[in-house]
Amino acid sequence: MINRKIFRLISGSVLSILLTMVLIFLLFPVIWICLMSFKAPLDIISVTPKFIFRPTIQNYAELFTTSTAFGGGVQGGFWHYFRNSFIITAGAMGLTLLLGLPAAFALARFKFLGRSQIIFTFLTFRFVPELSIILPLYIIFQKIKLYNTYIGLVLAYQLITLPLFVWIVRVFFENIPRELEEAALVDGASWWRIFWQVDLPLVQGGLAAAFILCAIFAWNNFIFGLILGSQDTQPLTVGVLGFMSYEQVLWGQMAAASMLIILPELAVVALVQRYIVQGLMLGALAHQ
Amino acid sequence: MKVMNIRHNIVSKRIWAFQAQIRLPVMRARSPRRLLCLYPAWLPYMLLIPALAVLSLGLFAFLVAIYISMTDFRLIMPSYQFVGLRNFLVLLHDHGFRAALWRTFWFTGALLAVQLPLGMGIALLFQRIRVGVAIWRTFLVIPLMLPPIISGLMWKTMLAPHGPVNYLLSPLGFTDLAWLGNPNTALIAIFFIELWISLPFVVLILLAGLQSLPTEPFEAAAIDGAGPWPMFRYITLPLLRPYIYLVLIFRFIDNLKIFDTIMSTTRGGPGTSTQLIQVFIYDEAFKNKNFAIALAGILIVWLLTWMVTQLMFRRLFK
Repeated sequence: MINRKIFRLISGSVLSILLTMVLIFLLFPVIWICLMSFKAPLDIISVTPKFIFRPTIQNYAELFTTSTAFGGGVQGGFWHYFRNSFIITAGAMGLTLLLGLPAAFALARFKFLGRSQIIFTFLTFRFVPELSIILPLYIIFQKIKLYNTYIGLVLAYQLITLPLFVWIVRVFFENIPRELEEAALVDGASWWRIFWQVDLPLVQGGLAAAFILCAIFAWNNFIFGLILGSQDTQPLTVGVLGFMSYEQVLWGQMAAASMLIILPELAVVALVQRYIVQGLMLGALAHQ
Repeated sequence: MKVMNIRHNIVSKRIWAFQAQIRLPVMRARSPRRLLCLYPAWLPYMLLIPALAVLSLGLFAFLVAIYISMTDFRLIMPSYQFVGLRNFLVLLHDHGFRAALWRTFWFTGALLAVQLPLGMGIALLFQRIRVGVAIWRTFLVIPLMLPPIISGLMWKTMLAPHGPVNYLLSPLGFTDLAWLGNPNTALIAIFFIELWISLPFVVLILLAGLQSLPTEPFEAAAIDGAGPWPMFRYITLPLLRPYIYLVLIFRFIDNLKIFDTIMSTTRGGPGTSTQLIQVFIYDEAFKNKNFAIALAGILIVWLLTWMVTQLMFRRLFK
């Protein structure tokens, strides 16, 4: 009797210890960069890493006022790149919503020639190496004057967000119980009304999952902005590299900028992690 | 301790039977059925065309890539000539390309070899969590949700000679290693950064798999007197095979795409020690201005990716 209790106790605490180690491993970088963003430059380069120090918000202030790191002298450069990130991400998600919802609905609810081929096409976009599309796109965009424009970038981003969005939302559409739609049909609804008033409200959760997941991937994207844009339109992820110039690395400001970039994401993840995990699972597992 | 020859008893038969019908998704995608109302025959196509039109931009770009890879196009010269498959042959003989490719495959293999057991272990741990599952899931997902560029920067600060990593490792004798500045250790550092970023994905998928397992085989095995390790090896692992395959496929493909992390930490250096294939292609295109050769290179990578995924998908759905 006592043996079993002791065994439970020990295994329980071993579990807790292991889980805590995992937790530290997962979170330590984020915590460290958070601390660093509040450190004065002297504290950052000290020989032994300091965990206790006097915090300052100087780094954050400099980001918006005097920092010359972003964009080589653009005053308050952080806002510029933040605006770019926001415009690109919002634009890309808006377009994805517009294009993806009808597509997902069509793939889920209609039987037509070429349906499985089209589904497969959406899948292949996940497996294509991005550079094989971005490099020629670089040339193409320069020819048709879409290089370094918001429209060009929003279009290019569709190649990441649209397939994933359609893939996830399609599964949610397909899982709507037949009875609800048939009830609407009995009442004489057209496909348009069924789409707007029956299906769409029912897939709200899935829609949120797909939207948030795709938005996060769009916000995080680096390579599209790097190659298909230039200083005017590049998002935050590209701008951040400006901190590492040849004279010095502005660690504090870089840490502050990093915190500001990831803060919206952390907040979103904390609030809707259930949806994010659901979206990720569907993105990976629903292969039918 | 008697090792069960699991292939011959009643439990194993049930496992194989179950495995034959195991389907992957957490949420089943049911087959579509037509809306039983009047709609014009062209409607589905109308709904799909806008999305497909935008995606066809990608297809067009891909075709352009194939075309350019067979010319000698360079960014600085406006004129170019068709040269057929010469670029591909040049690349396959190029020492730098082969080295980068080899390095990438080694890196991928090692990463997978570490991710799977580690992810499995963490998934098993997470399965035991009863309280605050949501909070744990939040923490788990964080490395996955951050921009890889930022993750690279975060780790860059931590791996600095006077940074916390060296500080924590100093009892073990490592003092002030410049992880990212030393050609021998840079790739190992990138390895850990990528491990940190991609482990949550592995854990999530394996966790979903673990949570979808039926309890009957385990109960039967317990009655037969099996301990935890035989249960894991003969019941859990075979039943998780589809999930493991999925992890292998996705991680293999994503490992070939590693780019952001390297760009924000070592940029391919020191020397070429961290030049994985995507960085190689990028440098070839924009540093050496050899666009055509870069495209030939990425197409070779695509071909290899395609062959491997075909193989794995076949095995997955056999």
